[in-house]
Amino acid sequence: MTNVDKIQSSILTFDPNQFFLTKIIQMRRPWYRAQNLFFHALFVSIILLLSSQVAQAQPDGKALFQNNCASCHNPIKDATGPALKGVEGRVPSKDWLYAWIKNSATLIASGDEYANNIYNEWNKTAMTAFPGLKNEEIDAILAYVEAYVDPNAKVAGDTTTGAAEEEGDSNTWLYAVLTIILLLVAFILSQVNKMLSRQTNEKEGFATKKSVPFYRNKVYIALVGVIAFVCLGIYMSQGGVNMGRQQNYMPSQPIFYSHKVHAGINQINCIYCHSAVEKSRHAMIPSTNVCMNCHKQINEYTGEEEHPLYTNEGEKVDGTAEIQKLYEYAGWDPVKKAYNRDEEGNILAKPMDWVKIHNLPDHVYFNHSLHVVSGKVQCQQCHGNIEEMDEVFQYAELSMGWCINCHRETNVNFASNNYYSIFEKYHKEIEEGTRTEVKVSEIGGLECQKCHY
Amino acid sequence: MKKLSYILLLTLCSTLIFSCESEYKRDPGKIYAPDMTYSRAYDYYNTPDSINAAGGTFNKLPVKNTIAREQSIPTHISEFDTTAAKALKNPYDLYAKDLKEGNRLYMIHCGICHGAKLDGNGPLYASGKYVAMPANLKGPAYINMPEGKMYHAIMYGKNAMGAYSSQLDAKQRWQVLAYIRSQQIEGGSTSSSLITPGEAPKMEEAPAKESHDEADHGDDANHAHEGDDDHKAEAHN
Repeated sequence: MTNVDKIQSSILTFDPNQFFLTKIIQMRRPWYRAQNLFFHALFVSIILLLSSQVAQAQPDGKALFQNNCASCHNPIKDATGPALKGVEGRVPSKDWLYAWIKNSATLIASGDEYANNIYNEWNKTAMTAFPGLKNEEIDAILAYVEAYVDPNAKVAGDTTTGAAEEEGDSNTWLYAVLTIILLLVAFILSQVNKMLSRQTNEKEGFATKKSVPFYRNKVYIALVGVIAFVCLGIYMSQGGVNMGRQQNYMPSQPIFYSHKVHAGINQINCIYCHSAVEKSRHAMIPSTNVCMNCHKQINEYTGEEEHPLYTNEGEKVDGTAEIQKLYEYAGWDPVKKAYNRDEEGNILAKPMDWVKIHNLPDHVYFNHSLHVVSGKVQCQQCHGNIEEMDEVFQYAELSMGWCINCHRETNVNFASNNYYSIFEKYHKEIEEGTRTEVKVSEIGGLECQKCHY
Repeated sequence: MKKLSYILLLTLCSTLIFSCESEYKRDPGKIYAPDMTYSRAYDYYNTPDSINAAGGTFNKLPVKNTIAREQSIPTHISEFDTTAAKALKNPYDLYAKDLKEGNRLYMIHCGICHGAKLDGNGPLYASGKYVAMPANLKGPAYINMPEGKMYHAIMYGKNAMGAYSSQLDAKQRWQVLAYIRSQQIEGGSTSSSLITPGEAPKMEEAPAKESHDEADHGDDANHAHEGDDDHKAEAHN
């Protein structure tokens, strides 16, 4: 009998009673007991392992979504890929969806109509293949997506904005009315006073002095002359000094760009947009592609309740409409989510005519990188609290006196700075203790040709 | 009595005159000498109208194959070719201080989306303004991603991420990558695969190796260094 025959015959003649009987007999043998114990342990551990697998196998849809899908998809909004809520209702079948997620490229290559349509509709952006995702995991993701609720959804329309503004308005009116009433009272009282004095004069028999109208009263004329002279003098001299200086200049910009929203509320670093400030003379107005780094995704202003936007004149600004203006300049199509391009592939963008606020005359040289990198001057020192400004205005005077004053008062970081090693005398004096600090003015900060050449 | 009223009148008039001026003005005001104020030469931030009227070059790209000043030879990777980008290697010698600089640059340019902890949970995403989640740079896909591919993403953007080539120059991109690599190691590290151990060579000892940060005065040395890098870049390509 061959081995195969033996096995076959044993299967054919299998009797459970006999099997267990032989088992029990076998178990009496000590070597077998040890062996059995080992198998028993193995069996138990396998069961345990399996059960723990079952416990783990309930996939966490949210975590899976965040790890695999979230960088291109949002449950309720279109991103790089379409919004996923209700996807099961849209696609042909669930099996199609599994196939698409595991490898969309093969599905497209197979000529599937729906797959090709959606691929073309989304600008032929290939979806990353997820061959490792199990069907249950995909189900968990879909369940999470279907259950997703927009956290920013408006609860109820409450309109409390504008109340503060109205209050301010009514106050102004109150003051105006009060002033008019007081003036009236003063006028009436002075008239009463005049009448009473005339009557007493008549009673007493004195001749009433003929009243001179105020425009012929010499004292009045002299007084007005003096006032006019002083005021005109102040006005002229101030105007002369400030001519060419543009402090508090706040031009209207082509787009209502709020620094408060970007640098304040959203904590974007100044250098993110003005990245040339460390490399160049100019801080640089960012090109539209820098705006689009974020605004590819952010296409509406959602801070309406937290921080409604108003111009300096108090006009309401629609933030979402301002973002649409940006898209027009940047050549971005918010519906197709792609740049409009000409035949050569160049993006059809237009330059944005921002109005320059801080204007130094051409005969003054100023370098941002020198002040920011070497001088470690904070932006706010010269530009004010930009992160608090909706519309930016020129905060500092930018006059020569203003520059010079700062150069006289500011200490140079002298000690551990290789750049200033040529100032041997100062280093020596610091070592000897006769000097504690070096001002900018002492290393040539007041030289004419530093800024004028 | 009369004197008092005159004085009152005087103060009233003057306060009225000086209180009428508004705080901010929409108009820049006048200037003494326009010729000395507005540059007649082409300059940054001349108004586009004046440049266009002069037949100027506003809103035009640099001539093709132009190399920016103080920049190394271009990498020749293009927006739609990622295979060449994957093979790209760091051409710069980066030291510990470059890691520090990379950290600073990361916090300015990347942290706002990818988060200070590189977990993709930056302030813009955390506050619900973004539709899609920025990449979790500590995820396995990014730990194993070739540096050249990440460099390509910084240069040209990827999916929802924009291009950062106008904000970060070539060396800064590698500094940021060095920082990201150092943070991808569990618990963070002061070294990374892109960092040469040890201190940066001092200028006096090896002028050719002087690097950007403290070399405002070492222009010549700088150029020599750039030249060095260029050869390296070529070798790698």
